[in-house]
Amino acid sequence: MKTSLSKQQDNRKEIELFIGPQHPASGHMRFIGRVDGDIFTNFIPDPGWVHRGIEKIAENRKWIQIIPLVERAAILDAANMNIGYVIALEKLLDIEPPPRAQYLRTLLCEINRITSHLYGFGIAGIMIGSSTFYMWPFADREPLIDIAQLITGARLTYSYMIPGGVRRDLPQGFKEKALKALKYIERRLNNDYFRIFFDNPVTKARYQEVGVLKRDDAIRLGIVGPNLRASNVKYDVRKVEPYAAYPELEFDIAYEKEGDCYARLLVRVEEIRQSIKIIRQILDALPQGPIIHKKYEKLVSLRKLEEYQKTGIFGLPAIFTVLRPPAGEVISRVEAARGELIFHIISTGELRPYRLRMVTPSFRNIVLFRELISGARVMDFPAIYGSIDYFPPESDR
Amino acid sequence: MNIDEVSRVFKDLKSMIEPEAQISILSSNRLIITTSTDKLELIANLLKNYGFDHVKSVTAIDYPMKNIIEISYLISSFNNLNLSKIILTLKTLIDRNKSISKSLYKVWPSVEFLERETYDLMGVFFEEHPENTSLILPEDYKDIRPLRKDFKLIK
Amino acid sequence: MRVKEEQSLTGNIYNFVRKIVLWIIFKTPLKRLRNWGISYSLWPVHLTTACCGCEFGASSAPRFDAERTGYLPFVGPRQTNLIVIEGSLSKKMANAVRLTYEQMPNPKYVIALGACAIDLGIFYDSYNLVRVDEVVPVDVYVPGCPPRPEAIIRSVVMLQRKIRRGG
Ligand code: SF4
Repeated sequence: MKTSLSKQQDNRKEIELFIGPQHPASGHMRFIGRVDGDIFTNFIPDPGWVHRGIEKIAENRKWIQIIPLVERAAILDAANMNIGYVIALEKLLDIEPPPRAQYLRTLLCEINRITSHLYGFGIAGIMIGSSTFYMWPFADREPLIDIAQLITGARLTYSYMIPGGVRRDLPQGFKEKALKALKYIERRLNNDYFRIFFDNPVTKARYQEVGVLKRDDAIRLGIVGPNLRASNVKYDVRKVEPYAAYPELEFDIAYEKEGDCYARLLVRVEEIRQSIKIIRQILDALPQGPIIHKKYEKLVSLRKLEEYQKTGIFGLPAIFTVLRPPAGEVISRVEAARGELIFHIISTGELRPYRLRMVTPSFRNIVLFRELISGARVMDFPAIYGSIDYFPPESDR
Repeated sequence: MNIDEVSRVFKDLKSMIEPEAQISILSSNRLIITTSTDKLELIANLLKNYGFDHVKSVTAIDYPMKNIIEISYLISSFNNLNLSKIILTLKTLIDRNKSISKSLYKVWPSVEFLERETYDLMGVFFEEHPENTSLILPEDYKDIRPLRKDFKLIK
Repeated sequence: MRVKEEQSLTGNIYNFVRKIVLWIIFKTPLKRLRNWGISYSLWPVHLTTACCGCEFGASSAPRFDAERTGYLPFVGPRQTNLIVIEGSLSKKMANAVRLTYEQMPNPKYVIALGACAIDLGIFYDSYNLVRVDEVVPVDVYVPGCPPRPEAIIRSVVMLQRKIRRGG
């Protein structure tokens, strides 16, 4: 009996390790790893725990109802999900929003990018056991969420962009409040965060030279977003195919050369800096004018029009409920906080889309788990997971 | 990107892939190549050598009336900044009843999870794909695949 | 004979004491004390099910600080007595929730966040979702999509009141 047991143990050097879906990381995800001693020999991500079938449900919704639906894929990055869909829809309808609306859209997208990155920092911090760096970014998100709330009226799910423009104009005194929030976040980012986390030897020891993704591998695997740019690929949809107000704004692509976990975090830091720069430019150069396309402005009732001129809040015209874009195929891409977001929409001229394909950045980054964690140590898993900034609902849709 | 460059790429591709496939323009920087399933890998290799280095999306569209499923690979480039301004759709039509296609995993490893998802949600089997197993739906899912048109959402 | 009697006597005393203790604990004054204790040590297990988790995270962070109500997210289900369902539950996840729930010691409570937990909300016709009440019994529902962090904290306070009332 004894001998056979020990024999069994000898034969099975590797053991299987199940992580999740109930686990201290961001949850709703399961991993199946094979561990030899302290090293993962194989690591398989198992997504799908938050799959809600957005693509199928979209075939069952009117065009305008899909705006809040696609946001639910990543509510902490709602504006960017939103703009991707609305741009695709506008291409089908062949309308172009007025310049002020373009700027307002960009403004919200950039605010959202910052909050989303801060959320990612918080998760990364708690994963490597730094609860201060969970508390700080989460607290510093709040001033930015507040200014987003001033524009849209919601904390996370904005549904701010509608075909042809945006729903609301800026409230009074917005600029001062926004500048104050930006100043605060800039100070925190450049001083406090570096002092307590990024320059901390513990952080560096856990992140540097861990989970290195080489440039060629990143391209081969089709990685997107900050994870791609951390591997020295200067690809950013905002530059490659500028949309909204990006062609008129000045900013640089954030990138790093190393491709390790630390580089991935630094890219996000730099992106926040660039976003702050963009928001400042928008606040200075915001053009005057209408926030909605002329075609739709004429269609609302007189009462709504009066309200719009007085308060800047545009009530949706009734025609939106029977919107029928002409038949056709359209592909839009935008740079969401976690990377490139693709909408591929087929319209047959009906009330509902024939097929809506949504490829989210997190889904394209899943493969990183297998590539980076196979061969790493067990205790590097939280560090790598945190640095990828993976958001499961976004990936599963 | 200006029109000249798109038309230059368009001409290049046209001379490269014809007569095995047809190329057309969808909008200012979206191109479409249509081909048959057995030529798919050949064309894909040509495109890869031309500089298209990754796949952005695998979209499968179900047309029950015509009894076909259309599979589109959205292809672009990270390396070549001129090509990255274009999104190229590589289209192929397969029989809806058989639902078997050829995997492009050997050409572009980035299709791996996208094709697996298509298998899971649309039920298209990709030959030579390293892992044709369910990804998102529960492992014991038996029903019609949800993205097919005859799967109805009733509640 | 004597030994036996003693044994039976001690046995009786043990049972007797046990009964008395239980009777006292579940009698009003002590039960109140016990419920009061439970209500201020609600420890939710960390099981994120969907996107309402963002606001759940924000509610434990400094601006809202749910921890001041005696509520602290914990890792293992064995040490926790509260499970917060954050929004929609997919079929795959429902099994995991059930498993986690069964591993938690009694007494245990459930808070369900979001419209999805109530009646699937915006995904009312989805093919892959189940309602929370089909999986675990729910004590407090919080409406909203997502609910604001204030609402989440209020739900904790409501649950505490319910426990103190004898829930
Ligand atoms: S209620 Fe809204 S925010 Fe919450 S899980 Fe459902 S869709 Fe997401």
